[in-house]
Amino acid sequence: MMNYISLSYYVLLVVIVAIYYLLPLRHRWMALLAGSGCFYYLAINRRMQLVIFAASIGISYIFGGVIQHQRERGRKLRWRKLVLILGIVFSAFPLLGSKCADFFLGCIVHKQKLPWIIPIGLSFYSLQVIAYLVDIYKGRIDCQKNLFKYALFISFFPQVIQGPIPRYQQLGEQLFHGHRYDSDRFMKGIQLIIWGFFLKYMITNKASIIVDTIFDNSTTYQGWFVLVAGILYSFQLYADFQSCVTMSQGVSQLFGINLIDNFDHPYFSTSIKEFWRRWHISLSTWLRDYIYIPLGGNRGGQFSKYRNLVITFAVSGIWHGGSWKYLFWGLMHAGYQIAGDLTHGVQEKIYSFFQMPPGSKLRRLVQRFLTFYFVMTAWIIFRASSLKTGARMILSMFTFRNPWIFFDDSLFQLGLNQKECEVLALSLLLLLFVSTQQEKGICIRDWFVRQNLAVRWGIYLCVICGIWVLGTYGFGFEANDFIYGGF
Amino acid sequence: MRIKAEGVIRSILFLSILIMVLSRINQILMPKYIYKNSTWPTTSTYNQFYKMEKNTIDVLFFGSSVCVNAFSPQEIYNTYGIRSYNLGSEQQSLFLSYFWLKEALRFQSPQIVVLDTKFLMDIHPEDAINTSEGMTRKCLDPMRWSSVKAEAVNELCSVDVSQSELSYYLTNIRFHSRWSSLTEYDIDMSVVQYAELKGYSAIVSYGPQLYGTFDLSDPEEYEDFEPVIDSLMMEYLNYMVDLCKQNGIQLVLVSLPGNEMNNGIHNNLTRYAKDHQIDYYNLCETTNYEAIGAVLPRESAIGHENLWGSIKTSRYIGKILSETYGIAAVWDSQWEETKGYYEQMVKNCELPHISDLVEYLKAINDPNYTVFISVCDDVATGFTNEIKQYLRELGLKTDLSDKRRYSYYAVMVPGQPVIEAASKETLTAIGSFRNGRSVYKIVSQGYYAGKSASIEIDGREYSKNGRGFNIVVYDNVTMKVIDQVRFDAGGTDAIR
Repeated sequence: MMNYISLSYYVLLVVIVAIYYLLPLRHRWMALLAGSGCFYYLAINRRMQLVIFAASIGISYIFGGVIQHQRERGRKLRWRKLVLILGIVFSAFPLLGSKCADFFLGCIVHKQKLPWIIPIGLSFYSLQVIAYLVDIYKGRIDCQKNLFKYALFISFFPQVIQGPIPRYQQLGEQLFHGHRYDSDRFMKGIQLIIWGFFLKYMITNKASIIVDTIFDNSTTYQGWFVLVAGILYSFQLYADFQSCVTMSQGVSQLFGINLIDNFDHPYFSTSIKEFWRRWHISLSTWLRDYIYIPLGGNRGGQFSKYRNLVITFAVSGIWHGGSWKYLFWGLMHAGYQIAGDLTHGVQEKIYSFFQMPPGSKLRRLVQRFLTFYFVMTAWIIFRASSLKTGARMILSMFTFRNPWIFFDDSLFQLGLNQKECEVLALSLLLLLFVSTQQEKGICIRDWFVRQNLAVRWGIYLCVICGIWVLGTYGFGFEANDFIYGGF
Repeated sequence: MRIKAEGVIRSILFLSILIMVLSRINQILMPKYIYKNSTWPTTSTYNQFYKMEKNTIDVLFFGSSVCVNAFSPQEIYNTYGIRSYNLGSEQQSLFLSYFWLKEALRFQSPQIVVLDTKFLMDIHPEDAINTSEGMTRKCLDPMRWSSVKAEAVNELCSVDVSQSELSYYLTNIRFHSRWSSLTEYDIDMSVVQYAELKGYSAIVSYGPQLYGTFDLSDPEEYEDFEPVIDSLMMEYLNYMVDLCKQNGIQLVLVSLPGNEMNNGIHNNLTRYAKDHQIDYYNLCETTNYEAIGAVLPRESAIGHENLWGSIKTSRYIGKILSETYGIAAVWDSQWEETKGYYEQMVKNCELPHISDLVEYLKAINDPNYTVFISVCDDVATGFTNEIKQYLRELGLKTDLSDKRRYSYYAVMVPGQPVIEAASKETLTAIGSFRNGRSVYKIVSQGYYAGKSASIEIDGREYSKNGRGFNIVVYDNVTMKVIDQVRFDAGGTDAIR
């Protein structure tokens, strides 16, 4: 099956790029549509997935037209709302049905889950469809009259599996207006793809070996092993998701299309609230715009605010998967934010006691450390096989002390030998360096472009060969998919 | 337009450089099986085959590891002047034999093809082509890219769906994790290019005391026998028969002693040979086995034959090739030039079986050997003049007879002055040989210094670390330790 790191995907990409730039400007979107169709067909393993995907597109297209028609005709709000709800329910039924049914059957009545046929990218394109219908309803956008152009907006192949979740006003026009070839932009796209491969093969896949060993044998590995697994999983998940988004952005740039950034160095956050402004930005803003604000947002007093927060994060949890652990993970983040809000005064006093005024470097560092620690703890629940297992693992971090694992080579017995661990550590340091530079506003790709050809070629060769040799992939390593692609 | 053209040229140039670099990296990462690290050196065997002059090989051997150990082309040439090459490999199933025969025929036009029948049986039912992926790659990876290899890989991956066709083209998919265990010969590939024994590989250890030969008890039994004949292997045997017929080659089937043998296997193979007008020799049969004339346990012609057993088997098959098939003796420099290498290899194989100290000292007085001696505890007790004389002939000047309970070491690197020292204190020496490519560290502690002996070569310990002489012999030609032995103080028998 085709995916974003398979060779066949890049062969298809070369063909699509060639056709795109050979077509006249106004017809170039057709190359993207054809490419998206080919990609989706080659990425699925059951034809029914394609049928469901096409049905979602068709239904949401029709409802988009109807909602706009009613809006223009000035129909009663009640009717318009009803049509919107029907549109959302029908268009996003596979997502709503599968997530709710999984949660109900698996967690409430404890029955076997239904054998749903899940189209790839369901969780992402469904939110895209909902946003599209709501935005038409609200009058923020006009519906797309051309069914094929609309199909392209939903199915745009670089981002259909794992986002970012685009809004019509952000992406639509970029897709439909042909772009001229720009060599600088093209090379920047290639750089992003290479960086995506670096994140995937040098960090995600390596970290996953240790993470899987510990999480899959959680009764064996306790105490500080859990801490190691939690930290590594935090980086694995970030690098994995970021790599996919980076590749999507890189591929899109080959066509002159800019996708939004989905991450803004989330582990540099100094609070949980800030973390959610930096992590999975397209989902966070979607939840804010289509769940939190419609519920009332910050309006209506503190209780309402906290209630809305809990509901929003509960939805976020269920979106990730229909089980208690995801729900609990979402609620943990809601709890963090509420607790942070309620203890704001106490926190200030503590910082003041330790002479750490607002804005001081040390205070920022402590805040970053604490935020990372809380996020990491929640990720343990997220990754564990069940809520109970996750809770037990977290508990063992505090009750089982085995710090000697950092000195007796135990960490090198978890599937990665010492040399591989060193490569992982160096890769994480490189990620930290790049992220720090970007946080300072320095764009490394701009620096790269200013270098002479020999330096640029040298760096390209070193990075490609480095990934080629030192990366974790191929024989004996099966994890070719992206983590978020499974949600 | 000019800028666009420049961009295209730059892109092509960069991609060319990138492809060259990645190809070289893949070459380095590919595992290499040579005399130094493997009993069945497939990489050098196949590389050497491509170096042979075109149409100079009259006989080709195919089969699994037992075939590699049984048929020595140099012995056959030395005895009968017949030019042969052994293209067998570890667990070579008939699928692989067929494609290697096809490949070989692009370069050679043999008169006889000898095929070991062991892998006609379903020996590895868990594997799609009767052999594991690892063994398949050992055999297939060194094959040059051509339509034959492309066909082989394609066929293989259609039969064995667990394998990735792409990984045969982009071998980094399979082997890139070797980066953390690369060795000298992964980088300097000159040593990988040659297999002077032309596909043969010698086993040094002696065989069992007895072997039960096969005698046919029921000439009509064709069914209900174990292991069964593999239908896919049979299919590829048919292909081999057809290929040989098309090229005017006589195909000869051979069952080697030690192969699984019973009435069913014998009768089926005999009938198959008769039906297809090919010859079949069952060397498991008493008459044939006795004709080989191997005397156990030294001359083991059973299973993985040892050097001395293979000499007998090679002479036996050489006689058949010469007398039955009329393969003429031909003088050929390719086999003449490796006679010396072969003799040295035979000598190397004898060394681990020498148990007398004096005989041993005589044997290691060889310009191909680097010798390390480290004394533990004491060596002077029972020291004889004869031992002293042969130590002197090795170039050692220290008189150990009056160095009771002393520490002592000696290092004899060909072309370099002998290094030796004796003292009551701990002695340590670090040095290099093979032009600095290998590093040794030697430590000797006599009775007064702590009683131990260490001989490390390239970080690996070889010393027996017991009282008396601890000797390690390194063959500079095959670049490996060929013996590690101890002779106790006062005793002259080797302890291994």
